[in-house]
Amino acid sequence: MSTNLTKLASHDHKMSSVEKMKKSLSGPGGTIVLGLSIIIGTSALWVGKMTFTSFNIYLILGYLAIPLIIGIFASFSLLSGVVDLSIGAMVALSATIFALLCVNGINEWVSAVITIIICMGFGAINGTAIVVFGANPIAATLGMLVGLRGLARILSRTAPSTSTSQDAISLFITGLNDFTESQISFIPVLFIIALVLVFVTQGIISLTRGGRHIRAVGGDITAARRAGLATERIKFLSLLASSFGASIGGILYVGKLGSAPVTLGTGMEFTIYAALMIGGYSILRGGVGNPMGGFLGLLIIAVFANLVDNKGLDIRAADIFVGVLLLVIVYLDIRRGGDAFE
Amino acid sequence: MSQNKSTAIKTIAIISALAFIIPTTSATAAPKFKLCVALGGIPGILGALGTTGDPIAKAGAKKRGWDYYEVSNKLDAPTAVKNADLIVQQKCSALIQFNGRPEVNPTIAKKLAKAKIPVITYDIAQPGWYFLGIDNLAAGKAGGAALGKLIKDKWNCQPDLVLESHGYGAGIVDAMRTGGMVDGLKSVCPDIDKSKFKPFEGNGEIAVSQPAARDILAANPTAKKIAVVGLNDAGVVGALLAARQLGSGYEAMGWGQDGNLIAGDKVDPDLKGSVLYFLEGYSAYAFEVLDAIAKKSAPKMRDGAVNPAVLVKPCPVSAAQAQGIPIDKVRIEKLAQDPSKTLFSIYCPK
Amino acid sequence: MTHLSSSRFKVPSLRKSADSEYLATILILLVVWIFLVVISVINRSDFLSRATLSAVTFNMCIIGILAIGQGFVVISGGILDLSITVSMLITSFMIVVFYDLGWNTPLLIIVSLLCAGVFGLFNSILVVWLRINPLIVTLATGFAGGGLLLIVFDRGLVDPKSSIADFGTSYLFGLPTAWWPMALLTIGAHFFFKYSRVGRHFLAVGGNPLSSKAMGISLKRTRVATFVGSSIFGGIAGIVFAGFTPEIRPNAGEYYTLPVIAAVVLAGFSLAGGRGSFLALFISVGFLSTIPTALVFFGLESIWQTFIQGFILIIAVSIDAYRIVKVRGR
Repeated sequence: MSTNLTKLASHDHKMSSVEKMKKSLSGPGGTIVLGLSIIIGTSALWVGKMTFTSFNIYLILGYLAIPLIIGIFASFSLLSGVVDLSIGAMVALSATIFALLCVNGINEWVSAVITIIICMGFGAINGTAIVVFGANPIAATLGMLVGLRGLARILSRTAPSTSTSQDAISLFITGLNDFTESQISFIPVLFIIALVLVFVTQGIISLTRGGRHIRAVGGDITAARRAGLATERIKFLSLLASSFGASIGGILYVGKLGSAPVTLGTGMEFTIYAALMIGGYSILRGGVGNPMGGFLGLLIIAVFANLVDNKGLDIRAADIFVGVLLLVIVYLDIRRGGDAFE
Repeated sequence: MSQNKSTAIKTIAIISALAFIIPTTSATAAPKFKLCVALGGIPGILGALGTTGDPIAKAGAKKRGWDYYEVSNKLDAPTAVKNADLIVQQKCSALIQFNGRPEVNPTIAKKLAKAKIPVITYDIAQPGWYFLGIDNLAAGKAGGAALGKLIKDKWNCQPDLVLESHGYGAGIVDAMRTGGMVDGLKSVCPDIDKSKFKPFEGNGEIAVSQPAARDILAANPTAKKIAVVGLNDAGVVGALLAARQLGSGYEAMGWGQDGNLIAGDKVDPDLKGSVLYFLEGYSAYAFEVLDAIAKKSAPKMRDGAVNPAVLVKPCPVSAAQAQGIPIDKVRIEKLAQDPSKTLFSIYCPK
Repeated sequence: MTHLSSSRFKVPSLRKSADSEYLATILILLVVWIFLVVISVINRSDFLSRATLSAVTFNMCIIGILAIGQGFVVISGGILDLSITVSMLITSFMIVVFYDLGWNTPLLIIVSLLCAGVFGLFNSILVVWLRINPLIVTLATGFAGGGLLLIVFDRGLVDPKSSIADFGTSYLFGLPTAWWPMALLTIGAHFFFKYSRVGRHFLAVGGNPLSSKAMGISLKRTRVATFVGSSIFGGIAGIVFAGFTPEIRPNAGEYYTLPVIAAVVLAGFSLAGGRGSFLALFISVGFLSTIPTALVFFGLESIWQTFIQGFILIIAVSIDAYRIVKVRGR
C-alpha cells in the first residue's frame, strides 16, 4: 500500500466524500476516533442524556486523571523501546512511603520530595539493570514489580497502628485532598493538568530534537547509535521518567483517597498499557505512538467503564470486554500494516 | 489528522444530537425509593457477597417496588471512592455498603454525607453510618472457646502449637475475629505458653494459608498436636490441610469463622466447627432500617460495633451440628422463597 | 544450503556455546541454592529434615509444572503465556464439575485437561490466524478469561473424601506424590528439547523463525502446538491445584503468575526464544521454593518473600544478561 500511489490517485480523480471518510477513518488516528465515537454513541443511546451531564463527565475525567498522568510519563519509556511493568507497584510504594513519612510528622512537601527521590532511585535500578547490564526489560521490571509490592507491604506494617488495617496507612491531608478534588466548573483540576501534560508531551515528541531522538532510539537502536545518539542515556532517562510519573501518582492518590493501601495500582499496568496500545504505542517495540492517542485510548476505556457503571452491569463482564477490545484494536492495527506476528 | 478531527467532530455531533432527540431510557418520573448496594468485590472475607452480588437486597427492593442499583469495587481503593460519586449520581435514597477497603471509608463518608445519603455498613464500622453486623469479637470468642473445650477434652489443654491464620488486610475485622478466637481459647485453656501461638498471614485463602502453615510446621518439627484458629474457614482449612500434607503423626483440630466451609457435604474432617454468619442473608436485617428510612422516620444513629443499629446473631456450630445445612447458594434460594424469615431462623440449630 | 538436510536442523557451533552457557547457569543456580541451604543450616541445624524437604517439595509442585509450560512457550519463541493460570483454573473447576456429576476419576481428569487444551487452542488461533503478538494475545485472554471464570464459577468445592484430595496429601517414595509428575515432566522436557527432532524444531523456531521456515518447519503448526502445550501443562498444574485446594476460587491464579515467570527467567531462558535449559529450570524452581521455608526458619515473616524474590530476580537477570554479553559480544 504505497502512499505515493494513493496521493496520485487522489489528485487524479476527486474522491467522493464517502471515500474520503473511509480513508480518514482507516488511518491510525482514525481508528481511535472511530472507537471513541462508537463508545460515546453507545453510551448516549443506552444510558441516555445522563452521559453528557456535567457530573458524569466529572466522574469520567476524575477517574482517569491520575492514571493519565502516570501513563504519560510511562509513555516516554515505551517510546524509547523499554516497557516498564513496575509502574503500578511503584504507585503503591510511593503512596506508602509518602504516607509513612507524613504520619511520622515530616512536612508534606519534604515527604513528597523524599518519596520522589526514592522512587526515582528504584527507577535508576531498573535503568541500570536494563541499560548497563542489558537485561530484558520485561524480566527486569517484572522483578521490580514483585519486589516493590513486597517492599510496600513491609513498610506499611511499620506504620503506627492508628490505621484501620495493616495493609493501608490512613492519612487524610486536607490540603492535598482539596487539591485533588478541586474543580474548575465541573472539570477536575487534575484532569486539566493531565491534559496540559498530554499536549506538552505531544509537543516534545513531535517538535523537539529530543523527542525525535527518543523515537529514533525506540525505532531502530542500531541506526540511532550509528547516528551518534546517546542511546544508553536516553533509555535510562526514560525509565527515570516513568518512575517519576508513578511517584507523583502515588502522592496524588494519598490526597484523593485519604489513605495509602498497599493494593493500590494493582492491574494499573494493564489499563495504562492497554490504553497506550489502543493509542498506537507498542509494548514490543519503540518509536511509535503519540500522547494524544494514548489519552484517547484511556478515554475509551474510561467511557466504557462509565457505561458499565451507569447501567449497573456486571463488572466482571467489563474485564472480558477490555480483553476483547485490546485484541480488536491490535488486530486492526495489523490490518493497517502494523507489526504482525509472522 | 485534521481530516480525522473533522470527521470525528461530525460523528460525535450527530450522535449527541441523537441522544437528545431519542427519549431517555431512564425514568425521570416520580422519585421512587432507590436502594443502592456498594460491595467489595473479590471474595475472601466477604464471602458470597463479594462476587455474586446481593440477591436478598435485590429481591427485597423488588418486592417493595423500589429501584435497585448495585456496584462493586473489586477491592480497589480508587474504584471504591469513584463508586461513592456514582452513588451520588444515581440519586440513591439509601446505601448498603460492604467495603473491603475500609481505609477509604472516611473519604467516602465525606462525599455521601454531602449528598445526604444514609448508609448502612456491614461489619465495618464508620462514624455516621448505621452499623449492621455480627459482633465479630463475641463470635471469635465463642469459636475460640468451643475449640478450647475440644483441646481440653482431647489434649488436656496442652496443644503443641496454636496456628493463627490471619488476614491482616481485613484490619480490625481480623483483629476481632482471629484475636477473639485466641482470647476465647485462652479463656478455657489459660495456661498455654505464649510461645506456642504462631500468627501468620494466611490472607483468608487456602492458596496462601496452606504453604505458609506448611513452612511453620516444618520449622517446628517437634510439634504434632496442632490447633488452628483464623479469620475464616478457608484460612483455617488451609493450615489443617498443611498438617495432613506434612505426613504422619499430626493431630490437627481447627475451628473456623464465617461458616463458608462447614456447610454442605464436602467438609474437611479436621474442621471441628465454625461460626455461621450467614453473610449472604445480611440484607434481610437491613430492611428494618431501610423501611424506616423510606417512611421518612429514620431510626436513631447507632454506628458502633459495640452499639449497633442491627445486631446479627452469629450461629456457632460444630461440624456435627452443621451436617444438613446446605451451602450458601442453596440457602439464598430458600430465603428468596420466604423473605420474611432470616437465614438464622431457618438454619441455625437450636 | 545443500549440506544442511531439512530433516536435521543442526548448527553445531551455536549448540556448543549454548551448552556451555546452560552449564554455567546450572552451576550458578546450584551454588546459590546450596548457599541458601548452608546459611539456613548455620542459623538452625534442624533445617535439614524430612519436614523441610516435604515443605519445599510441596512448594515446588504447582509452580514447577506451570514453569514447564511457560518455559515451553518461551523457548519456542512465544514470548510468554500470560494466561496459563486461566488454563490451570479451568481444569480445576471442570474437575469439580465432573466429579459432582459422578464421572469416574480418570475420565474426568482427561476431559478437564482437554478443556484447558481448548483454551490454549483458542490462544493459538489468535496468534496464528490473526497474527497478533502472543504477549498481547495471552495478556488479553488472561484478563478476559479471568473475568469469565469469575462469572461462571463462584467457587469450586473439592470433596475431601475424593481420590483427587488423597493425591494432594499422599507420598510416594518419601516425597509428595504430586512432586513426581513435576520432576518427571521437567526431566522429560529437558530430553525432549535437547535430543528429539521435534524438540529441536521448537528450539529452532524460537531461535530463528525465518530460517526455520526456510528449512521447512511449519511455523503455524509450531505455534499451535506451543500454546496448546502450555495450556495442557497449565491443566496438569490444575489437577495438582485441585488436589491441594478444597475450595477453588477464580482469582487464585494471581498467586502463581509472577513466581512462574520469575522461575523461568531466573533459569536463564531468554524471552527472545531459542535458549533455555529445563534442568536449570528445575533448579531455579527448587531455589525459589526454598526461600519461603528458609525465611520462616530465620524468623522472618512471609511478607519478606515477595520483596526478596523480586530483587533476586532483578539481580539475576542483570548478571545473566551481562554474562551473555561478555560471552557473545554485542
